[in-house]
Amino acid sequence: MSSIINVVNVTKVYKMGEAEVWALKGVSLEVADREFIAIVGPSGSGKSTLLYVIGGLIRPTSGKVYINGVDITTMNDDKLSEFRHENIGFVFQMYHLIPRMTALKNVMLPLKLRGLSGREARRRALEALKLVGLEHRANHRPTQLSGGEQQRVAIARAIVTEPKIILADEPTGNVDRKSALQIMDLFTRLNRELGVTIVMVTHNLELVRYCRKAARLLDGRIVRIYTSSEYRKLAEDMTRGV
Amino acid sequence: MKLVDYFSLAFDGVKERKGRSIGAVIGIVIAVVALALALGIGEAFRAMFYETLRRAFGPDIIYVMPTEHLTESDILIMSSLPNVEHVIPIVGQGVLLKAGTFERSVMVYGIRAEYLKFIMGVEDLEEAIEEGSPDLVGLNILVGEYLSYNYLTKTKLIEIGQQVILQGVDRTTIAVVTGILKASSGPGVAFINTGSSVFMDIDTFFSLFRRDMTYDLAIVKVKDVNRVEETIEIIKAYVPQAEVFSLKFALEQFGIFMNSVQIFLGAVSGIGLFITGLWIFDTMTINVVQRTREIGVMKALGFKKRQIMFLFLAEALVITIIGVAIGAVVVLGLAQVVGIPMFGALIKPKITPFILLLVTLTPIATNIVATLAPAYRAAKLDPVEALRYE
Ligand SMILES: Nc1ncnc2c1ncn2[C@@H]1O[C@H](COP(=O)(O)OP(=O)(O)OP(=O)(O)O)[C@@H](O)[C@H]1O
Ligand SMILES: [Mg+2]
Repeated sequence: MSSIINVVNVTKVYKMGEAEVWALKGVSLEVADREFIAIVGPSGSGKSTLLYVIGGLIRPTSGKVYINGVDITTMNDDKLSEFRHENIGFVFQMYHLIPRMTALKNVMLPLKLRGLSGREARRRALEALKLVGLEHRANHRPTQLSGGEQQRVAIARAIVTEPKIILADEPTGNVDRKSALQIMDLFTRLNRELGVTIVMVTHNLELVRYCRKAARLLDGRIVRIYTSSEYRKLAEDMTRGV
Repeated sequence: MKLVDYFSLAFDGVKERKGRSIGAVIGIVIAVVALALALGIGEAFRAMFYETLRRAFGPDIIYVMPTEHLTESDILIMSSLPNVEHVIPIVGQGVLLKAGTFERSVMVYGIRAEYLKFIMGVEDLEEAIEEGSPDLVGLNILVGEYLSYNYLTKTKLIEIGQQVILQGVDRTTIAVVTGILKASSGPGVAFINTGSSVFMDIDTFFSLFRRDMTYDLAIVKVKDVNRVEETIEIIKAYVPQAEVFSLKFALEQFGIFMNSVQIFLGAVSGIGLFITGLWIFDTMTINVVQRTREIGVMKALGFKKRQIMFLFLAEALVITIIGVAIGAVVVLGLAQVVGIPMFGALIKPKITPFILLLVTLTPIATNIVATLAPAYRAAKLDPVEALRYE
């Protein structure tokens, strides 16, 4: 299997005046095409930073990030924007839907950016909403939807451009357990049926079992990558914090 | 992204903040209307005064205004100069006209009867006579129709043959009304308001009011219009103690004056535009702050810097275009009804295509400039920090 994401020895240093925060201290990670991988680790260990480095939202201080064999660390801002638009679908903990727009319009936004006609954008957005089981909520505004529903709309927005990769930062962090499981089922389907590569940051070990692998971060380093047969060990290591 | 999509997104944003948007639109409407009306009134004044000047100065007329005494010999010299057809000397004095119980401050002009038709703009003086006869000798006077008749109460104030009193500063006389003069519309030649003035024979005038026999003004009528400039130079040489000028000069001077008046009016009412610009700047700055997370999302979705910038500019444009469009309609409507009463007429603002273009394009330009800084700020936001923004 070829690797779709290849992170090579990436560091990220945040400068806050004189102080430096080393969020990533030399991380290397290969993710195969059609993989569904979790990134776990305690708060402040650098999970989000790693995810956004992969998605081209954060430039690493050093190291390389190859997506589909292309080095994205040398891209200028416009090229990175194009790269994100073509390849990545983001899902955030806080959903980040645009409050004044209906679910449908939120999902149509990336397609509008692509320059699609209103009719085509609408058709594809409705399809994406159907996929997440919310076509009947198309004309609701975010405030009229539950947290779980909002997150599914956000997932529809992430997949409507048919990206190869979905990067999800604690997508279930703000929803109830039932919705969380629903979202995980959805991710599993996207991964299995559409072949989308998914990288998901999570705190919740119960959800890790949906993923085929889990990379464990500790203090800016990947300490180990666990396969699904090693999840019991993952749980032990996490509670011991080693 | 398609242009319509920018504007449709921008319109959603404008709708979301209805209160602020309506405030901004109202501000723009007021600014546009104020500027257009100020410039329109200026334009109307310009047109009216141009018309007055054109009437006062035919193309074949030169004005000679003495800075010192202008005497009979100057008049004779000017009459003998080449290209001069004739020279019309004029003297005038403010007096109190008393006719029975009717009293009015008026100008009394001394003029030869043969020249009065020229002042009145007629071929034969009979044409300018409303009533009575144009018999301008001795103590006979001709009075303007507005003095002889009260149009409000519809009563006659002065009758033909009536004796009236003309009370000057140091001389009072009795005169006999021999005829009523029609009013020319608006101030005419030499700015004499014929409808509300009194005319008497020039010799009588001299003996009563002007013992030194000097003139206030001479109007020179030339034979060849194309040689007006040359004739002005010759007159200046022979009559150095006078200002000599023609229509062209007067229009030029007036044009310069009106330009500065309009620039002043424009600047004063342009302050409104400046304030709306500040308001837009403020609105858009607040807007960018409030939408920080949204901007982060858009960047994550792949919006480029210039696309984010254009989104905010489009929002300012939507507000401005709505304001300008309403403003233009209000201006064109108001221009039909409002006016400043002057010289007995209502001066309505004259909204020329240039003024309309100016008052539509200026707010658009101002508000784009006002939005540049906040829009740029939005464009260069760090996406991850924007997403974390609380
Ligand atoms: N913009 C920033 N400026 C300074 N320090 C930052 C910034 N972003 C993150 N950090 C720091 O970098 C480290 C890693 O942060 P990151 O958000 O990647 O952690 P995380 O694993 O996602 O944590 P959590 O589970 O709480 O979301 C933390 O110590 C954090 O305080
Ligand atoms: Mg995080």
